[in-house]
Amino acid sequence: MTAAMVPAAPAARRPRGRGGRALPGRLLRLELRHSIVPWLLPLIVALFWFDSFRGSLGGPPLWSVRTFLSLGQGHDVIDFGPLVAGAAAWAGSREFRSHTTDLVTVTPVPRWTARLTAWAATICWIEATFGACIALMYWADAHQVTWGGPPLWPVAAGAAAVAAFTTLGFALGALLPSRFTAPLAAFGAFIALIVSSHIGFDPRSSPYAQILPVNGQGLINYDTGVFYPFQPDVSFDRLIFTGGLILAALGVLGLPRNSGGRTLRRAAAAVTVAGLAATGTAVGLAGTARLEAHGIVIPALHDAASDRPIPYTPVCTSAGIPVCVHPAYRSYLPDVTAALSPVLAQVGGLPGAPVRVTQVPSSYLEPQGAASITGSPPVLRLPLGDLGLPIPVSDDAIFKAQVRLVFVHAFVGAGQGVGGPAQQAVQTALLTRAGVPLSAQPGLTIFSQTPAPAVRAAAGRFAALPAAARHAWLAAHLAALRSGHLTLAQLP
Amino acid sequence: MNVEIADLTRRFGRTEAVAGVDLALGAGVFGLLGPNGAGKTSLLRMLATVIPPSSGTLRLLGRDPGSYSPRREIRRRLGYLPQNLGYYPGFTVAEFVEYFALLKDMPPGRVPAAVATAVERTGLGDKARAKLRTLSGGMLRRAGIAQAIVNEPDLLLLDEPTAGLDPEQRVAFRALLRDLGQRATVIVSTHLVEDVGAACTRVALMNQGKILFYGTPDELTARAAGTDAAGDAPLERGYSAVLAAARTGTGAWS
Repeated sequence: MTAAMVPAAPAARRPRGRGGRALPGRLLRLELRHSIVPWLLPLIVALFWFDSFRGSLGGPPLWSVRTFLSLGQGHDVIDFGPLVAGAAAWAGSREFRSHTTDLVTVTPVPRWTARLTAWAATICWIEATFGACIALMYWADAHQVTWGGPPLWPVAAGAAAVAAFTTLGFALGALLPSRFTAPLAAFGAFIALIVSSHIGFDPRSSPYAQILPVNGQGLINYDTGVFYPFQPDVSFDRLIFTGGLILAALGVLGLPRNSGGRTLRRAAAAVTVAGLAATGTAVGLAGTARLEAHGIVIPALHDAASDRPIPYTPVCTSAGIPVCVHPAYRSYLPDVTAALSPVLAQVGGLPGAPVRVTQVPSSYLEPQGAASITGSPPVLRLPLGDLGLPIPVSDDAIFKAQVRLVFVHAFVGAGQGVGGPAQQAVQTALLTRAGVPLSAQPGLTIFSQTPAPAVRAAAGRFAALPAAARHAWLAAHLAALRSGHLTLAQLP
Repeated sequence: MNVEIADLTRRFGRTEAVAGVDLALGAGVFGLLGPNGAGKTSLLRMLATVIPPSSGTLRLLGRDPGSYSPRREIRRRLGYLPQNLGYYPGFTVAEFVEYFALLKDMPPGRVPAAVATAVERTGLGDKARAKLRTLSGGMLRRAGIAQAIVNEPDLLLLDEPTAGLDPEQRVAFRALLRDLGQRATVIVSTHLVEDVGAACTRVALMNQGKILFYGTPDELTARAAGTDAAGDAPLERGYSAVLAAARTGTGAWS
């Protein structure tokens, strides 16, 4: 050890050479070691756990719903966005804060290269954290979900959105450095997410709103990825959008005169233009988005293969009238069977009464899709995914009441509305006899209002009839009831 | 000649920080003296290619730094210690020097040995793994010198390199300067005339953007002869004499 500065022993001049390919790797290693992001990891992970992770695990055991509750609505981006934008702005403004601008300026490695290396280190930490959080969440989900696999396109779109917040924050820090840049970047990201949430969750928003990362408009319903594949069009479009933003921001970093030579700056300009073009294209594509039965479709990005149904073998009960559900809903089968038994028992043997119950996919186009009884012999086609599945799977009275309601609704032929007064009265009576008290019925989805007094009175009379009398009346009048020609006065 | 300057000027708004300087320097240690605001730092920053000149001709290491490719080649062979050294507090001394070695485009395979050599030469061998935030001002200055010399520069520009160094370190630093000056052009801007006297083969004295004197330290000392210039050491009296002559209008560029 020495405390004195010593002249070097005379030595042959070292040959000069360029850094070559190993340079970015070694610089990246140094940048990774000194990134600010690891200091923020506990906060980011805590936010993710509190918001996305708990939300996902609290959902029904379906990949579609769990992904929707965490990634589909953009909770992941909300958890990561502001913090990573601030951290990246801090990293981007490092030279300014540390007063090393002159030292770095007089080095031969282009500043664009040096900045891209610092950006790469920041993004590596952030994306690794994002990936670990998602992997952990999906690992926990996989222990409860019994069928299928997680949709990965929303993960890619989320990762790209997080990368975009990182890159925009970094560019802001590098190009407009000040002590306030990092908090301003974080606050700006927070405001952007609030605006995105405000527009993205508004059902009156235009199709262009689909491009926003925080968005709850029709991306996923319960049966997404169950009967039909997840439609990746919107996720892919968001990937193009955020990828374009990332490219544009990285390109802008290389535009200042001190960023490098003319060739490098031209390349940076080309990257910027390409990024902006991609962003504009993605926005344009979002404008063509339309809602179809299995999800949002963007024609230019749509793959017809994702319209093909996913093959499956239904899970059925063997006792009584068979009830069959998709294997993804296996855990709901006992509840569905138990819910239907009291109403099926009331109508069993009637001409037109279902001899089988089978689950059908719910549709994006009919969010409150009604069940139907069709075919010969008649089959109750039940869109379970529309019924607000209980969390966790349990003896949930509301869920069972909903199942009974959609059945009696289909049975009297009420269609999409609440049905005529006579149909309402019969539905009310059947529900009452099946154990759903009249007072609870207005809370059910289809009966959003309390039936009129005359309907309630007729329902009371009909419910008070002996079971055999009701059965006989229904056998004689079911066709007329379904056609909507009966009046309340014609009920017994 | 590693440095060739003709009528070099640098303006900041209406202020002319460097006003028509001419210099030609080969290998050796060259001292740049002058009072505060004389233009030393601006001249050094132009030589370091941090800022471009407003007018005049500048050639460094036989190249014109006005164009990108030659400037890049110059920077590959340049070492620079700014007056206000910035640093990354979380880096260790070795990492700090390695970082700039990599940015100086050194072959990565040679970087570890070069870093070790630079750190040893500045007497920081036992502090190589210490975080910069834990170092004293003098040690930070030495870390700055280490990053400046890590690429064995042909042109080394040091702005107030001995600020914060204790007397023992300054003596050692002068020895290092003399060693470096055997093959490279070393330009040292300083207020401390004893550094110039001990280490520099040539010296220039700047005031108000102009060079008032250029010669050997002995010649500067000789300027005090026959005057009542103030100063504790002969070189200081020469320095004062040149400045006093300039203020009374009798001084002349030598």
